[in-house]
Amino acid sequence: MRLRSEAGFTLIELMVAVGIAIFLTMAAVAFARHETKLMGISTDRLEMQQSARAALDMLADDIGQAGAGVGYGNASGNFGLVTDPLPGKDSFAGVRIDNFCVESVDGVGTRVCFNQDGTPIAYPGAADPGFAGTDLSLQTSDINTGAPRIATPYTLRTVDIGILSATGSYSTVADFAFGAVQTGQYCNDGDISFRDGELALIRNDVGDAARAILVQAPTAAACSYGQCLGGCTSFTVGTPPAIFYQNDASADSANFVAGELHGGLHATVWFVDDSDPSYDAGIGVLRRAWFDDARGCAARDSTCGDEVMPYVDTLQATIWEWDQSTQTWVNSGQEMVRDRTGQRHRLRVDLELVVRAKADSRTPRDALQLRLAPLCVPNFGSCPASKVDFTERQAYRTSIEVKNSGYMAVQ
Amino acid sequence: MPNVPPTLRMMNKPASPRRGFSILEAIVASAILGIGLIGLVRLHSASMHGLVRAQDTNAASEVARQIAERFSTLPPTAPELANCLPPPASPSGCRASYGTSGVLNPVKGGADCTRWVDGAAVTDVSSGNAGWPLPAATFGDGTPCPDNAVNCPGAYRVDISVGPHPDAANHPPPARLVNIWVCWRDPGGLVNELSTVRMIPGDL
Repeated sequence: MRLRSEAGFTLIELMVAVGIAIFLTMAAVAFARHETKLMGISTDRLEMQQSARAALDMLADDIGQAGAGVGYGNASGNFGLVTDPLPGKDSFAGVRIDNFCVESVDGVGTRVCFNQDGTPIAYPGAADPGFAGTDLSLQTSDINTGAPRIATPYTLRTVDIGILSATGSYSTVADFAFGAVQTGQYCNDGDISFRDGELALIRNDVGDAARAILVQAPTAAACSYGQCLGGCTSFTVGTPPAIFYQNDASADSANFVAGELHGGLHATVWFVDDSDPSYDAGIGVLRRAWFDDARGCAARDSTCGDEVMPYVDTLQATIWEWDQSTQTWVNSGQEMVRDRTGQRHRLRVDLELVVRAKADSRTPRDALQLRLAPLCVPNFGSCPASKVDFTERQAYRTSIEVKNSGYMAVQ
Repeated sequence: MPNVPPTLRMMNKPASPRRGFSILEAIVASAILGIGLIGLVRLHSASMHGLVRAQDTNAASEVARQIAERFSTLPPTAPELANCLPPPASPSGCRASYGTSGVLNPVKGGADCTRWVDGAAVTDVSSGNAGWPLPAATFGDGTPCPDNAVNCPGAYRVDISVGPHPDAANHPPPARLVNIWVCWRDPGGLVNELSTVRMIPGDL
């Protein structure tokens, strides 16, 4: 019988082959992990950019509507409409940054104050640098050396932004009568309508008297004076909690006939909530809260409003007013309220949102440099000396021109 | 051979075929493997180049957008708009030529019409009110990048020119048109450029 060939691999051959196979498999796995991680960083980065731009656009839209329908200060320094000022805390009738309180008319009249927690935010874990409220100091490091990139840390302020506007239906006041039960009429122009219980602003034709009201029981009716082409709607006046929207004193006896009625009166508040313990110190969630006759919130925390964007370092805002005489921008302080000089002012709000990626604070370029360190591929610049735990941030900015506040005629 | 021990019989038997790979086979196999590996490395390198390029382009787009938004808020009488009128002979844009040795155009005339900016840096928006919303870029040692620098690593060169609106009939002076160019060098040395335009209405 003929023997079968039994030539096989020797032990050495087998070990070498297995060793090479293991090496190649490990290299392939490492390559795949590397690619997957790089793709994850890229995805996180892209998500962060899109979220930041979307958040800024939404905030810009809100600020662009600031003061619409709300009114402005009168000769005595009052405003057409103000929110309840706490001692030492200003009210606002357009945009307000920093400290303020807002209250919803939800039957409870819950008041929420912003930037009132008094808890300083410091990064990176250092003591509060001594700025007021929630200011923070930010220091970035060089990727290659770990050394500070700037000699003096930036002084940043995480501010809360309150925006007051009436951007619902708008109509002419056809009639208004004071009395035990105050009543009024507004003109039916097109698809104008106010719902029962809607929080609205009514003001006289020259704009120096205004008050917040609840439009109740709107009913189609003949116009008292017949001046509205589309007919009229009668309503009774309900008074919202006085603590919320305070009326100008002159509004108690003003003649509102031929004035304006603005619906959809609301306050929108943007803030960075840093109460989530799962976040690093100094990092929070950008939230947007809405206050009107139906919505509000009970506290300035993670239950207030809707989450807009996670992993936010800080939100900065500054209000500028164009000085025509000096041809320069002047910081108009923390509040945007127009005076009654009759000039069309140019107002600008600058925003800066500082964010970082969810999974990795490194930019793709930085991550690439680090990962290419062992390879030192030409044309990619110098390889980093060591892997440092740096804290790169990405800042997104926008400038908004605000045109709504105080456009009415001069008295 | 009945008297021969079985072990010797086996020794006398012709050897089993233990033929290995020839040198030609080994060379071909190695070449195929090498080509595959080189292709993989090149693919990896290209993908990372693309990633960096996409990131830089995105950042440059943000830079252009932020500067355009700031200029859009300026009144037509703002000094910033009077400073950057391009001379007729001045080339447009900031990139003079494309390629691995691409060069930048000379600095534009007028005050503050060309600047290297750091797109990712954090600023304090309450500290200044100039028309530029972005901080000036610096070299790694903190030295400011001069306007005429050939390159400022990681930064973007922004050129601005302001001129009358070409449709003067519908947009008479002082309506202006602002051109914004953003240039940057990628890791391979290529000069990239993108631009945007904003109109500044003539009415206050």
